[in-house]
Amino acid sequence: MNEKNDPDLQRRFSAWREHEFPQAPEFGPVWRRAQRRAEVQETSRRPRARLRLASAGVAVLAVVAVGLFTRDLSWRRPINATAEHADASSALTQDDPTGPQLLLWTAPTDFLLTSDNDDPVGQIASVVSALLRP
Amino acid sequence: MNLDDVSHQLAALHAEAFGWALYCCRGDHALAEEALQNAYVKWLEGRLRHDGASSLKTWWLGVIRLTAHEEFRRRRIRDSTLLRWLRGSLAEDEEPQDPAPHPARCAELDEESARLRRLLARLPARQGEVLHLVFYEGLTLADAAAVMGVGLGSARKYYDLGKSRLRAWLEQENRP
Repeated sequence: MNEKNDPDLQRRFSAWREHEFPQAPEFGPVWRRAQRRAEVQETSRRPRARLRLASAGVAVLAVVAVGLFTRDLSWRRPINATAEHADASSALTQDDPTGPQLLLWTAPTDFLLTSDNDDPVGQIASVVSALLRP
Repeated sequence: MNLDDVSHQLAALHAEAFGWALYCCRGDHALAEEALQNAYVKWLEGRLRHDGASSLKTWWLGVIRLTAHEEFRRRRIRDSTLLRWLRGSLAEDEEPQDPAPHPARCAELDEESARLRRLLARLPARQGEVLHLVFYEGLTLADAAAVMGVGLGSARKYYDLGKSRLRAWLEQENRP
């Protein structure tokens, strides 16, 4: 495949190239500056990674703390309501082998819709803790 | 491949790589040097890997093209009026900046080459790129297509259109 079938264009581009090549900065200094920058970025990356890890840890702790706090505020009523609902549902789905799974997924939604508790965060925490109870 | 081998191979490609970076940065010498240095940094940090699907030169010119475009975008965002206003550095009587680099920062060229570069810049980006890669860098159309990240058929179309347009403009300018 001969793309360069235009001698006039090739001559013009070659002249341009020959004129521009000597203006290129030397390789050595550019390479050394790149090496230094790579080293600096490498050393600054480690503290940044530690900072990100610490931030993630603090965020997780904050979520856990909020969860524990709301759980203490509204513990009993949602548990009872979930338990009542579980009894009713298990009675309905006694012969159905998919019953327990169905109960697991429908109970929280149903509970949230029917409950008169005005603390939605507490409700969610209670439902989750009820589901996780052995 | 150890670092010495790499640096020797990149040193051999340096002048051609700089010419390509200069073209991608529209003749801005400082920006081209910055882009090339950033490409070296990427290599040194291990963010690049040459899988051998194309020659080192083809692959490296592709890396420089992407890095130059990133640098160009970064520079445009940094120099945008909104960001300069947010930084509080926009003087009240400051004129809006011309997106073209300042002439003092452009590489010096003789009249003939400067004309060629000006005409090439008038072409749609991909047509100018393919002509530069084929005639200036000495790549085949297939390699030029790999650098630009397009198919061979598209590269051929850009090449034919660009070449005929460039020829027409050159003949037009040569007429008395």
